[in-house]
Amino acid sequence: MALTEKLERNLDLKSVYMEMPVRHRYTLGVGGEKFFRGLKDDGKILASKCPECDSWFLPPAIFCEQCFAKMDEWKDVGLSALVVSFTVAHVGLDGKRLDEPVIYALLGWPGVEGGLIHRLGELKPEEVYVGMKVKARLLAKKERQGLITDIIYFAPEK
Amino acid sequence: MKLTREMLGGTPLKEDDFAKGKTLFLDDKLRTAYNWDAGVAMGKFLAGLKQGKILGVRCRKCQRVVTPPRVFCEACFAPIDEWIELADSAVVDSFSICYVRWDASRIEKPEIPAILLIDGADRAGIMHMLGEIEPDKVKIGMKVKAVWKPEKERAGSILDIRYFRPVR
Repeated sequence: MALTEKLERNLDLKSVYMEMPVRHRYTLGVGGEKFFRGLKDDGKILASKCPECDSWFLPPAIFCEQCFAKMDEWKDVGLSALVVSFTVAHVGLDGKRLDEPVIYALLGWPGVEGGLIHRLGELKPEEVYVGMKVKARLLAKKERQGLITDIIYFAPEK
Repeated sequence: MKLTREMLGGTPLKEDDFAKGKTLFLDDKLRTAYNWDAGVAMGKFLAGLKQGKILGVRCRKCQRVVTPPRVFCEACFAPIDEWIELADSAVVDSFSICYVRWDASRIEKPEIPAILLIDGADRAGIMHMLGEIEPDKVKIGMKVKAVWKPEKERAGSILDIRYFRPVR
Protein backbone atom coordinates (compact mmCIF):
# COMPACT_ATOMS: atom_id res chain seq x y z
CA MET A 1 0.00 0.00 0.00
CA ALA A 2 1.56 3.21 -1.17
CA LEU A 3 0.53 5.36 1.79
CA THR A 4 2.25 3.10 4.28
CA GLU A 5 5.07 2.04 1.97
CA LYS A 6 8.25 1.09 3.76
CA LEU A 7 11.57 2.19 2.36
CA GLU A 8 13.50 -1.00 1.80
CA ARG A 9 16.53 0.77 0.38
CA ASN A 10 17.53 4.14 1.69
CA LEU A 11 19.53 4.79 -1.48
CA ASP A 12 16.31 5.09 -3.50
CA LEU A 13 15.99 8.64 -4.69
CA LYS A 14 13.81 10.71 -2.46
CA SER A 15 15.06 14.24 -2.89
CA VAL A 16 16.39 16.60 -5.51
CA TYR A 17 19.23 18.98 -4.62
CA MET A 18 19.36 22.16 -6.67
CA GLU A 19 20.40 25.76 -6.60
CA MET A 20 18.77 28.83 -8.09
CA PRO A 21 21.44 31.06 -9.64
CA VAL A 22 20.66 34.47 -8.15
CA ARG A 23 23.41 37.05 -8.57
CA HIS A 24 23.05 40.75 -8.10
CA ARG A 25 25.06 43.95 -8.30
CA TYR A 26 24.27 46.69 -5.86
CA THR A 27 25.19 50.27 -6.66
CA LEU A 28 25.04 52.79 -3.88
CA GLY A 29 23.19 55.68 -5.48
CA VAL A 30 24.29 59.34 -5.48
CA GLY A 31 24.16 59.84 -1.70
CA GLY A 32 25.56 56.39 -0.91
CA GLU A 33 28.39 56.88 -3.37
CA LYS A 34 29.43 60.10 -1.64
CA PHE A 35 29.22 58.50 1.81
CA PHE A 36 31.30 55.46 0.86
CA ARG A 37 33.84 57.51 -1.13
CA GLY A 38 34.30 59.56 2.04
CA LEU A 39 34.83 56.40 4.06
CA LYS A 40 37.14 54.78 1.50
CA ASP A 41 39.30 57.74 0.48
CA ASP A 42 39.28 59.97 3.57
CA GLY A 43 38.31 57.61 6.41
CA LYS A 44 35.39 59.90 7.26
CA ILE A 45 31.79 59.21 8.23
CA LEU A 46 29.63 61.77 6.44
CA ALA A 47 26.13 63.00 7.27
CA SER A 48 23.91 65.27 5.19
CA LYS A 49 21.74 68.19 6.33
CA CYS A 50 18.24 69.18 5.32
CA PRO A 51 17.91 72.94 4.72
CA GLU A 52 14.16 72.84 5.54
CA CYS A 53 14.08 70.99 8.88
CA ASP A 54 17.73 71.56 9.87
CA SER A 55 18.23 67.87 10.68
CA TRP A 56 21.39 65.94 10.00
CA PHE A 57 20.98 62.46 8.56
CA LEU A 58 23.11 59.33 8.71
CA PRO A 59 23.37 57.43 6.44
CA PRO A 60 23.22 60.53 4.27
CA ALA A 61 20.88 60.92 1.32
CA ILE A 62 20.30 63.53 -1.36
CA PHE A 63 16.71 64.15 -0.32
CA CYS A 64 15.26 64.63 3.15
CA GLU A 65 12.96 61.73 3.99
CA GLN A 66 10.73 64.04 6.05
CA CYS A 67 10.31 67.15 3.88
CA PHE A 68 11.67 65.97 0.50
CA ALA A 69 14.01 68.96 0.31
CA LYS A 70 17.25 68.51 -1.57
CA MET A 71 20.20 68.05 0.77
CA ASP A 72 23.56 69.37 -0.30
CA GLU A 73 25.28 70.27 2.95
CA TRP A 74 27.58 67.53 4.21
CA LYS A 75 29.84 67.15 7.22
CA ASP A 76 32.15 64.64 8.84
CA VAL A 77 30.53 63.44 12.08
CA GLY A 78 33.72 61.76 13.27
CA LEU A 79 34.53 58.16 14.08
CA SER A 80 33.29 58.35 17.68
CA ALA A 81 29.73 57.23 18.37
CA LEU A 82 27.42 56.09 21.16
CA VAL A 83 25.84 52.64 21.51
CA VAL A 84 22.08 53.23 21.07
CA SER A 85 21.08 49.60 21.17
CA PHE A 86 22.83 46.25 20.89
CA THR A 87 22.30 42.52 20.59
CA VAL A 88 24.58 39.57 21.24
CA ALA A 89 24.39 36.91 18.52
CA HIS A 90 25.26 33.34 19.45
CA VAL A 91 24.01 31.84 16.17
CA GLY A 92 25.41 32.64 12.71
CA LEU A 93 23.66 33.26 9.38
CA ASP A 94 23.69 29.57 8.59
CA GLY A 95 21.95 28.70 11.86
CA LYS A 96 25.08 27.19 13.41
CA ARG A 97 26.30 28.11 16.90
CA LEU A 98 29.17 30.57 16.87
CA ASP A 99 32.36 29.80 18.79
CA GLU A 100 32.52 33.40 19.95
CA PRO A 101 29.38 35.53 20.22
CA VAL A 102 29.21 38.56 17.91
CA ILE A 103 27.92 41.87 19.25
CA TYR A 104 25.84 43.97 16.87
CA ALA A 105 24.95 47.53 17.77
CA LEU A 106 23.08 50.55 16.49
CA LEU A 107 25.53 53.41 16.71
CA GLY A 108 24.29 56.97 17.04
CA TRP A 109 25.87 60.41 16.79
CA PRO A 110 24.44 63.21 19.00
CA GLY A 111 22.39 65.65 16.92
CA VAL A 112 22.21 63.29 13.95
CA GLU A 113 19.09 61.37 12.87
CA GLY A 114 19.60 57.67 12.17
CA GLY A 115 22.91 55.93 12.66
CA LEU A 116 24.87 52.88 11.57
CA ILE A 117 24.45 49.24 12.44
CA HIS A 118 27.78 47.52 12.93
CA ARG A 119 29.75 45.08 15.05
CA LEU A 120 31.41 45.90 18.35
CA GLY A 121 34.88 44.58 19.06
CA GLU A 122 37.66 44.53 21.67
CA LEU A 123 35.17 43.94 24.47
CA LYS A 124 33.15 41.17 26.09
CA PRO A 125 29.35 40.97 25.68
CA GLU A 126 28.82 41.61 29.41
CA GLU A 127 30.79 44.87 29.19
CA VAL A 128 28.49 46.55 26.64
CA TYR A 129 25.91 49.10 27.80
CA VAL A 130 23.58 51.53 26.07
CA GLY A 131 25.25 54.95 25.94
CA MET A 132 28.77 53.50 25.79
CA LYS A 133 31.31 55.56 23.89
CA VAL A 134 32.84 53.67 20.98
CA LYS A 135 35.07 54.50 18.05
CA ALA A 136 35.24 53.05 14.52
CA ARG A 137 38.31 50.97 13.70
CA LEU A 138 38.97 51.24 9.96
CA LEU A 139 40.90 49.03 7.58
CA ALA A 140 44.16 50.49 6.28
CA LYS A 141 43.45 52.92 3.41
CA LYS A 142 44.77 50.64 0.69
CA GLU A 143 42.57 47.76 1.86
CA ARG A 144 39.37 49.83 1.87
CA GLN A 145 36.88 49.01 -0.90
CA GLY A 146 34.09 51.49 -0.28
CA LEU A 147 31.95 49.05 1.69
CA ILE A 148 30.56 49.20 5.22
CA THR A 149 33.08 46.47 6.06
CA ASP A 150 35.81 49.10 5.59
CA ILE A 151 34.91 49.69 9.23
CA ILE A 152 36.17 46.55 10.96
CA TYR A 153 34.10 47.21 14.11
CA PHE A 154 33.51 49.84 16.74
CA ALA A 155 35.67 49.48 19.87
CA PRO A 156 35.32 51.11 23.31
CA GLU A 157 36.85 54.56 23.37
CA LYS A 158 39.48 54.82 26.05
CA MET B 1 5.23 65.73 -24.26
CA LYS B 2 8.06 63.43 -25.12
CA LEU B 3 9.76 61.87 -22.12
CA THR B 4 13.55 62.01 -22.30
CA ARG B 5 16.12 60.25 -20.13
CA GLU B 6 17.31 63.63 -18.81
CA MET B 7 13.82 64.35 -17.47
CA LEU B 8 13.87 61.10 -15.53
CA GLY B 9 17.22 61.85 -13.92
CA GLY B 10 19.33 58.99 -12.66
CA THR B 11 22.90 58.03 -13.38
CA PRO B 12 23.41 55.83 -16.43
CA LEU B 13 26.19 53.26 -16.01
CA LYS B 14 27.92 50.97 -18.48
CA GLU B 15 29.78 47.74 -17.71
CA ASP B 16 33.00 49.62 -18.49
CA ASP B 17 32.29 52.14 -15.70
CA PHE B 18 32.47 49.32 -13.14
CA ALA B 19 35.73 47.96 -14.57
CA LYS B 20 37.28 51.45 -14.47
CA GLY B 21 36.18 52.01 -10.87
CA LYS B 22 33.99 55.00 -11.76
CA THR B 23 31.39 53.84 -9.31
CA LEU B 24 31.41 51.80 -6.13
CA PHE B 25 29.43 48.59 -6.22
CA LEU B 26 28.96 45.23 -4.57
CA ASP B 27 28.59 41.97 -6.49
CA ASP B 28 26.91 39.31 -4.46
CA LYS B 29 25.15 36.01 -4.73
CA LEU B 30 22.19 34.78 -2.78
CA ARG B 31 22.53 31.35 -1.28
CA THR B 32 19.60 29.51 -2.79
CA ALA B 33 20.53 25.85 -2.50
CA TYR B 34 17.57 23.69 -1.65
CA ASN B 35 16.77 20.04 -1.25
CA TRP B 36 13.32 19.17 -2.52
CA ASP B 37 11.83 16.13 -0.88
CA ALA B 38 10.39 14.22 -3.79
CA GLY B 39 8.00 12.19 -1.67
CA VAL B 40 7.11 8.53 -2.11
CA ALA B 41 5.54 8.66 -5.59
CA MET B 42 7.86 11.15 -7.25
CA GLY B 43 10.86 9.49 -5.59
CA LYS B 44 10.00 6.19 -7.19
CA PHE B 45 9.35 7.91 -10.54
CA LEU B 46 12.81 9.54 -10.45
CA ALA B 47 14.41 6.24 -9.44
CA GLY B 48 12.65 4.73 -12.50
CA LEU B 49 14.12 7.39 -14.79
CA LYS B 50 17.57 6.45 -13.54
CA GLN B 51 16.87 2.92 -14.80
CA GLY B 52 15.58 4.30 -18.11
CA LYS B 53 11.92 3.68 -17.36
CA ILE B 54 8.94 6.00 -17.30
CA LEU B 55 6.71 4.76 -14.48
CA GLY B 56 3.03 5.44 -14.03
CA VAL B 57 0.35 4.38 -11.57
CA ARG B 58 -3.14 2.95 -11.97
CA CYS B 59 -6.04 3.78 -9.69
CA ARG B 60 -7.75 0.52 -8.76
CA LYS B 61 -11.04 2.32 -8.30
CA CYS B 62 -11.40 4.33 -11.52
CA GLN B 63 -8.79 2.40 -13.58
CA ARG B 64 -7.15 5.65 -14.67
CA VAL B 65 -3.42 5.39 -15.50
CA VAL B 66 -1.43 8.54 -14.80
CA THR B 67 2.11 9.84 -14.80
CA PRO B 68 3.86 11.53 -13.02
CA PRO B 69 2.80 9.09 -10.32
CA ARG B 70 0.95 10.07 -7.15
CA VAL B 71 -0.06 8.18 -4.02
CA PHE B 72 -3.76 8.92 -4.25
CA CYS B 73 -6.15 9.50 -7.12
CA GLU B 74 -7.22 13.13 -7.29
CA ALA B 75 -10.35 12.10 -9.21
CA CYS B 76 -11.77 9.59 -6.71
CA PHE B 77 -9.49 10.00 -3.66
CA ALA B 78 -8.62 6.30 -3.61
CA PRO B 79 -5.10 5.41 -2.46
CA ILE B 80 -2.96 4.28 -5.39
CA ASP B 81 -0.53 1.38 -5.15
CA GLU B 82 -0.39 -0.23 -8.58
CA TRP B 83 2.76 0.69 -10.48
CA ILE B 84 3.23 0.10 -14.18
CA GLU B 85 6.04 0.74 -16.60
CA LEU B 86 4.91 2.96 -19.47
CA ALA B 87 6.43 3.32 -22.92
CA ASP B 88 9.09 5.98 -23.44
CA SER B 89 7.11 7.38 -26.35
CA ALA B 90 4.51 10.11 -26.30
CA VAL B 91 2.20 12.35 -28.30
CA VAL B 92 2.75 16.12 -28.49
CA ASP B 93 -0.23 17.79 -26.81
CA SER B 94 1.04 21.35 -26.82
CA PHE B 95 4.32 23.08 -27.54
CA SER B 96 6.10 26.40 -27.55
CA ILE B 97 9.00 27.79 -29.59
CA CYS B 98 11.29 29.76 -27.31
CA TYR B 99 13.94 32.19 -28.48
CA VAL B 100 14.52 33.38 -24.90
CA ARG B 101 15.98 31.00 -22.34
CA TRP B 102 15.00 30.64 -18.69
CA ASP B 103 17.75 33.11 -17.72
CA ALA B 104 16.34 35.69 -20.22
CA SER B 105 19.31 35.23 -22.61
CA ARG B 106 18.44 35.23 -26.32
CA ILE B 107 19.23 32.23 -28.53
CA GLU B 108 19.46 31.76 -32.29
CA LYS B 109 18.29 28.16 -32.31
CA PRO B 110 15.04 28.00 -30.37
CA GLU B 111 14.23 25.54 -27.64
CA ILE B 112 10.93 23.68 -28.02
CA PRO B 113 9.33 22.75 -24.69
CA ALA B 114 6.23 20.60 -25.07
CA ILE B 115 3.54 18.92 -23.03
CA LEU B 116 3.79 15.24 -23.90
CA LEU B 117 1.10 12.64 -23.34
CA ILE B 118 2.99 9.47 -22.43
CA ASP B 119 1.82 6.38 -24.30
CA GLY B 120 -0.06 3.98 -22.05
CA ALA B 121 -1.34 6.70 -19.71
CA ASP B 122 -4.80 8.25 -19.87
CA ARG B 123 -4.20 11.79 -21.10
CA ALA B 124 -1.54 12.40 -18.48
CA GLY B 125 1.43 14.41 -19.55
CA ILE B 126 4.86 15.58 -18.58
CA MET B 127 6.70 18.61 -19.81
CA HIS B 128 9.92 18.13 -21.70
CA MET B 129 11.99 19.42 -24.62
CA LEU B 130 11.71 18.35 -28.24
CA GLY B 131 14.88 17.78 -30.24
CA GLU B 132 16.16 16.60 -33.65
CA ILE B 133 13.39 18.58 -35.30
CA GLU B 134 12.98 21.97 -36.97
CA PRO B 135 10.55 24.27 -35.11
CA ASP B 136 8.26 24.61 -38.15
CA LYS B 137 7.90 20.83 -38.41
CA VAL B 138 6.40 20.31 -34.95
CA LYS B 139 2.72 19.36 -34.98
CA ILE B 140 0.21 18.71 -32.24
CA GLY B 141 -0.56 14.99 -32.25
CA MET B 142 2.93 14.12 -33.47
CA LYS B 143 4.52 10.92 -32.10
CA VAL B 144 7.82 11.32 -30.27
CA LYS B 145 10.26 9.10 -28.41
CA ALA B 146 12.60 9.74 -25.47
CA VAL B 147 16.33 10.16 -26.09
CA TRP B 148 18.00 9.00 -22.88
CA LYS B 149 21.36 9.87 -21.42
CA PRO B 150 23.77 6.92 -21.20
CA GLU B 151 23.04 4.86 -18.08
CA LYS B 152 26.14 5.92 -16.17
CA GLU B 153 25.30 9.63 -16.64
CA ARG B 154 21.75 9.27 -15.35
CA ALA B 155 21.14 10.83 -11.95
CA GLY B 156 17.48 10.14 -11.23
CA SER B 157 16.31 13.41 -12.72
CA ILE B 158 13.83 14.41 -15.41
CA LEU B 159 16.96 15.50 -17.30
CA ASP B 160 17.96 11.82 -17.59
CA ILE B 161 15.83 12.13 -20.72
CA ARG B 162 17.74 14.54 -22.96
CA TYR B 163 14.72 15.36 -25.13
CA PHE B 164 12.03 13.67 -27.19
CA ARG B 165 12.63 13.18 -30.93
CA PRO B 166 10.11 12.50 -33.69
CA VAL B 167 9.30 8.83 -34.38
CA ARG B 168 10.35 8.16 -37.94
